[in-house]
Amino acid sequence: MNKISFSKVLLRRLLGLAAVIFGVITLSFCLQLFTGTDPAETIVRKQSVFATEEQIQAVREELGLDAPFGERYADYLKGVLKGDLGTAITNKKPVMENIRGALPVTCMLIILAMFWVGVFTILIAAVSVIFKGGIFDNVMRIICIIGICVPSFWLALILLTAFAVEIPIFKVIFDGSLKSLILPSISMAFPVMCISVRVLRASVLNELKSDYVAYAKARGFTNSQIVYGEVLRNALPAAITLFAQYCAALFGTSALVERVFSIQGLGYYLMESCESMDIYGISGSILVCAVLFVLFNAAADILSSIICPAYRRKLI
Amino acid sequence: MKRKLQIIIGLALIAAFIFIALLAPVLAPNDPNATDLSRKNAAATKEFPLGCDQMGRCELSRIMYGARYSMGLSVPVLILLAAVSLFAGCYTSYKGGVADEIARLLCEILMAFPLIVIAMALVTSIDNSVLCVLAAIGISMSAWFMRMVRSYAKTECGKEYIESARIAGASELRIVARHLVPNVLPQFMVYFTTGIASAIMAVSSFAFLGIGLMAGTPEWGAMLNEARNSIYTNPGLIIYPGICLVLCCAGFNLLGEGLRDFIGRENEINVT
Repeated sequence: MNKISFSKVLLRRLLGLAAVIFGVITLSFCLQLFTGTDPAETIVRKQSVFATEEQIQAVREELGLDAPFGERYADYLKGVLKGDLGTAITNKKPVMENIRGALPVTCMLIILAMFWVGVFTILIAAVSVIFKGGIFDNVMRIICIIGICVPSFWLALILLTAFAVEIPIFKVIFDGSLKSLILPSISMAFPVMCISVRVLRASVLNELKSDYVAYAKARGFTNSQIVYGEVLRNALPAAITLFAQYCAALFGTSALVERVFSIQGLGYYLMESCESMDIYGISGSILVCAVLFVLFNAAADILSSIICPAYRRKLI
Repeated sequence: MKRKLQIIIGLALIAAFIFIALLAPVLAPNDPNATDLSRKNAAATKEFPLGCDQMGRCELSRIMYGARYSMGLSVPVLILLAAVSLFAGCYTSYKGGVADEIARLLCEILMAFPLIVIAMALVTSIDNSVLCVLAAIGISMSAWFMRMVRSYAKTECGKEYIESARIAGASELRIVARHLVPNVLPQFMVYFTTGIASAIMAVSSFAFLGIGLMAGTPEWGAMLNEARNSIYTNPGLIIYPGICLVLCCAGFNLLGEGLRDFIGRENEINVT
């Protein structure tokens, strides 16, 4: 097979990225278009219950809701490109500003959670592979199978009961400090960690069986040279892809843990907009979540193809 | 042996939960919705084996009825979904060309939205009903199913039996339905079984957020949501529904994992 240049992979990936982001924006616009609740009515009714049809119509015109489909779509696209996601119905502020206010906490939470995931995945997978079939490996296998099924919000409740109520090491309510992020981040990290340990362990073991390892051994390379130089390069992409996907998905699912610990992050904002039928808030935040997911995925692909030349072939 | 044990434990757990779900009215000691504030947070007695919740409802009966929601909602939707995405995935990847590209792009776009976010969006824009939640699961999971099916089908398409079928003059539809689908099916079953576990978890997490099910429904996630306020008074309310949720998901996951190894090994035997 001829050598596949890195720039070609990058170009193709970026083109695909643009197409998907365009689709994602279109979909979030469709959400506003096909909503069963009339945003104009929601806004007016919020001020007075006895709003007249004229008042609603006036707001509708102000928001440009009665414009033809194409015009609204063009307006929306222009707005998104400028970073304007509309005005939230709940607090009358731009949705972008609300999201920007909520994002830092969620980011901290996810960075901390992914830190746990990264550290423990590599440690546990390494020990499991080295002592394959041993007690540690078997116990970890069982813990990981069950751990995948532990919902993060339940773990959060259990940790909260155990380490904040029964043994008061941590505070029940989030106060913005790093210490109060420990419990929520662990409960988010645990299920993800269980999956990634399994994936990394399986892919390392799979690679160890392949011919190039036998060949490298025959050539007289040491074990650590083989593992760090060749096996990990080929085994990591699977784990990296998974890691990036979960990292991005956590921006949405953080709502569950944020609800338990009353953290006012992005998930909390999503919940709030959902409860108050704020269609602009929702479509703005799901757009942010989706774009993050796509970007993380692309970054993982690019990182994987830097590390592992064989991975580039898959992308073409 | 280990694989067999996994499959047996998985099947036993699933069977137990199906049994409880079907026979909940017979097995449950009390009415799951009968409130009595004088029994509020009552300790376990003979009449109420797991005690009572914050509204004085029998915890055990509620947990038993909860099995109905967890499995009854997600399993039928997933079966329908699996059938559609299996056929559509196989067909588009066999056909190639424009259909293939469109399917790929559609999957990638839909996969970008986390399931929970789709559910919130649908609930906000349509209404807060179970149907919206199921639709969200349908939209999101079908993208992941399709992607999986397509990657399996792509490898199958390169194999000789497809080529032979084409040379023998079999029609497109026949190749897909008679050759491609049956060969993709075993691998897909593995993914499908673990998919059920994630769907059960999803329904419960939505209920925990108050999306989809009405307040007071005896569903495990909804019960956990109500129990949030009693972490000081009655921690048991948090523990029992969660354990059921974990066991129910573990049943499907164990079955899926066992099947995966089983199929993997069978292929190995065939190859050698």
